[in-house]
Amino acid sequence: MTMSFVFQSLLNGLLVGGVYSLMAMGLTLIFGVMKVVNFAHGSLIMLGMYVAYWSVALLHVDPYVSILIVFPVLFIIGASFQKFLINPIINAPEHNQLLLTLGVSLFMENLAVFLWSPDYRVMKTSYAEINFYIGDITISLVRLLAFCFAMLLAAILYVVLTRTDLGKAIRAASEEPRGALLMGINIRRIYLISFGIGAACAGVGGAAITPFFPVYPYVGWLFVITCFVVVVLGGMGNILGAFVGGLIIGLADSVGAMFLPGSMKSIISFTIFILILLFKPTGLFGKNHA
Amino acid sequence: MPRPMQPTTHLRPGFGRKAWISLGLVLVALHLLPWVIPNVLHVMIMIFLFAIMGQGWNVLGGYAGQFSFGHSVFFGLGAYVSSLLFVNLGWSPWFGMLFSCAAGIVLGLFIGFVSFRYGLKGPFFALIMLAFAEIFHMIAMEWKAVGGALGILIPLEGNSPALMQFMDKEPFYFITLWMMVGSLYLVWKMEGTRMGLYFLATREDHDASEALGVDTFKVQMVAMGISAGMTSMGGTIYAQYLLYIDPDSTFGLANSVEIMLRPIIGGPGTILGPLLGSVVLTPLSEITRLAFQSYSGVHLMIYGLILVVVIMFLPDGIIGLVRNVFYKMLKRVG
Amino acid sequence: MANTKKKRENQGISRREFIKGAATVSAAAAVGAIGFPNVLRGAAPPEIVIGHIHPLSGFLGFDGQELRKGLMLAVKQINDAGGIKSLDGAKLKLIDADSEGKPALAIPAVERLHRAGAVAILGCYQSSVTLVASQIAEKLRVPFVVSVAVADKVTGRGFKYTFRTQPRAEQMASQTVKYIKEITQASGVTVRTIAYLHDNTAFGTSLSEHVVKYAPEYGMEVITKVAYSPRAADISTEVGKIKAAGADVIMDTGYFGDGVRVLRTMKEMRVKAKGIIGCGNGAFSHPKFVGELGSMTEYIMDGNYRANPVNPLTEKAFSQYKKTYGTEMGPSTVFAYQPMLVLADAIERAKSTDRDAIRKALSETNMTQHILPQGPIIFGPDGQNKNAQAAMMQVLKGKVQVVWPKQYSEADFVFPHPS
Repeated sequence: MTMSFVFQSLLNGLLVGGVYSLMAMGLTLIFGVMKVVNFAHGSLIMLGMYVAYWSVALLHVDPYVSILIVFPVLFIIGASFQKFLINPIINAPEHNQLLLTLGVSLFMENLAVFLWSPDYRVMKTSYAEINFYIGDITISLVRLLAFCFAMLLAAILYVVLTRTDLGKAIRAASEEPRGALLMGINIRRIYLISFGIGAACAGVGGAAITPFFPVYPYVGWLFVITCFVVVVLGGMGNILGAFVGGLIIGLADSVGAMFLPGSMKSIISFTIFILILLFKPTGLFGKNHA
Repeated sequence: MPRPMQPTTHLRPGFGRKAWISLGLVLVALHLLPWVIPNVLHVMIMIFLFAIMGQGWNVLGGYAGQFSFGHSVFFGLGAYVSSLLFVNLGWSPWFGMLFSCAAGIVLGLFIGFVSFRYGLKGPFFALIMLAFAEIFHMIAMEWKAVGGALGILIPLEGNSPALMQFMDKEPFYFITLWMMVGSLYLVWKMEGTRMGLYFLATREDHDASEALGVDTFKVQMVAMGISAGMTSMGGTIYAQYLLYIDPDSTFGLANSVEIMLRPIIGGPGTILGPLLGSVVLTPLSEITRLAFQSYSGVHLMIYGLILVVVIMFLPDGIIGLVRNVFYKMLKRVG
Repeated sequence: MANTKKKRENQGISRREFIKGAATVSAAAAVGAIGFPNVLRGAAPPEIVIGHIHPLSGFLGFDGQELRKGLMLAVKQINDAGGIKSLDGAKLKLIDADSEGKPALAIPAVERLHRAGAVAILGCYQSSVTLVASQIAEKLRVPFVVSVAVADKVTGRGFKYTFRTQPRAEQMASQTVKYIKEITQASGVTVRTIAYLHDNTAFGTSLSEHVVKYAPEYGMEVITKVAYSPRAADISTEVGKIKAAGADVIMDTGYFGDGVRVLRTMKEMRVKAKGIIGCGNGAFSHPKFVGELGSMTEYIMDGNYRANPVNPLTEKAFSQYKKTYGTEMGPSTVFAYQPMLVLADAIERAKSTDRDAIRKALSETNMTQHILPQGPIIFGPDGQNKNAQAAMMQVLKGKVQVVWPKQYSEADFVFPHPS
């Protein structure tokens, strides 16, 4: 095992981990605020990828400009999802909410099959051919850009959550919904916005990888389980935790692939997942619960 | 704060002669079915098989309140244990089914031990089950001794009841029918016992029951054991029915979903919920598949849509609807 | 009071049980009703019903739909040419069954097609589904013609009703290794080491294992064998392992979507070898692959099942396909198209729609007019096409072309790959 091989894997693990971070931040935001385990997150990622793909293919916009289209579209989809489907059952047992999101994801994926056929589609962009080389190590421009966009959005999200009134309201609603309600915060509006932002994070994460990742209706499942691992690792509802967790899981997968055969590579992240659930269910950075 | 489920109606007090007679009639009718409409046997077998495994899920998820998102781990384990015993050692799957059940219980107790010890519940427990199912899937894919990705092909032995292989479907129909009846009986019995009441107490308020002296850890372990054992036995039946298993079709996420769908749609925490859910969902997916086969994907869209509608408008499952309609009828009659 | 309550409860259970029973029966009746008209149709066939089972939706929906088009094209050609002549020009009629890629769904699918009076069934693209479907067909005594399914065991179980024209895993892998040897000899390049990248499904695992076994017979050795999971989002470390091996030749097996990712990652990481060669690769010899990835696919090779390009029949089929569906005919589509013709030929010779007569005719098949790169199609006693042969393809000037064996080649290979 040469040094360049190790660095190369770690680098790519880190770059893809950044994308996991963004997707998982969306998921953890939704969980933190609404306590809803959203299995439709993969479908939202898929929709983000399709929106980016069609923007490039039909409107001929730049792949990275398409992110500006993906964000509002997915925000609206997420917000309507929340308003019409999640909100009516917000007090139902958890397994009902989980099944509802599964039903929605089944619907969205197969709607994609129906509308766009199950074809694999590859976005055509000249960016994909540009690579930088340091010695024997490749830095692919599209992977780097996906990472940068994910980091950028993650940073914006973090600033919004910590520095703005909206962010404070969201955090208040997440930590103490009744208190927040008493303080005059419009909880329903906060739920709507949080779900919209969560969906948009998923969509932008998807759009950011579309330049180097084939798009097809079931593509979301490649990410959604990993997102759950990341969310649990960072502590469910913990935005910063999801951010760091994504990078850790990205690296862990690379290390797993270096030492383990085939599909066994994810065993490292799943083992971390189980251990965290057992010993520190509040996540790496969570306080131990009383 | 999750809304507590409706208190379960206890059937015991009013279980009189008429009820027994009508139950008997239904059973007789079900026994005659293969000769009346033989074409539906496969659907019926699938209805019963998933009702059995759904009942397994129901004991843990519906009664004891720990909902699992990875019951395919027991399903797959059951399918693999009996198949491996048969292919490698020539042991009859009838015998193997007992080992599958035992293996399921052992695994269930192990997962239960590590999870309940640390007070895991809600989505955390659901996700740890998912993680175990995924890990078993990965191991089954990679480990050559259990067939790897190629899976296990159970050799055809012709019509051999001793090896749970039949040229016709009727035997599987009766096996699954009776196992389903057995699982109903077991849960019905369980509901009346002290342990059954502990299940409900633990589900409704974990901490309060603990304070009242209920050993919630033990209660959840018992539920887990029953649940895992029942689901594993279903796995053996599935393997013998198909005579071929591979990691995706056993440990796959889709099976976890299929198993949990039945009790949740039918009515979690009720005796008949899993069966009712299976009676509705299994034919539904067959019918929509046939009706929309020229439009790829549409039948799954509709399946997803129906799930959403049922969950939004029938939060207590179909059994809640049946109950409401029934009480309304009663009122009208006076 | 207590009495009334008791009575209510009594009615409660019986009514509920009744409703349950009624629901069961009506659901059952509904399922039965759908199959029923087809049974009537099967009794006196104005047309000959042929069933097929493919993943028309689900993860492999793309592939399944392609195969369906191949079948429909063959049916259309036969019907346009006057149907089955020995049966007074009876027309063929194709009935779909969707497997969604799930083995358990193969059982009702075969049974439904059986009840619909299908004289034979084709399928199923995945080995797992095919293993189950062919077993049910054997029980019901329905001839089963495999479209695509590489697992050796499909025709290795002593079944009487299963037939397969496609080369099985062992044939495909051993022939690909042989072609590599012959090509390297012809070009005067030595190839001793192979690094093998494959998906961890039944498909990738079995082909790669056969290559490992056969390589030494041709003086080569697989020095690294790396499996990846198609469910993994990033596979660059796996590709990195292949790169680090520094073998003479890199081989790859996987489904279409993975092939796209693998090649992209290889190009990005500047993986160099004398050749990048697929073995049964779902992407490398698919026209859509070249269309999607463009110039980066140039010189990529693939040992795979294929139509015979130097046969005028092939050209006819390809151009008709393009005219009807607007896309190029992929290699697996050929193996839906050709088996349908084999089946039609058997029905023609059987002069009957009796399944056993068709089975017998299938087993006596000796077809010389076909579009495969092989001698006559003859089934061995196990139902496997004895002469089944893979071909070596290469992307040359943006087009997938057969380059080996010589007698079927449409272009000269370029080896080693110019860097």
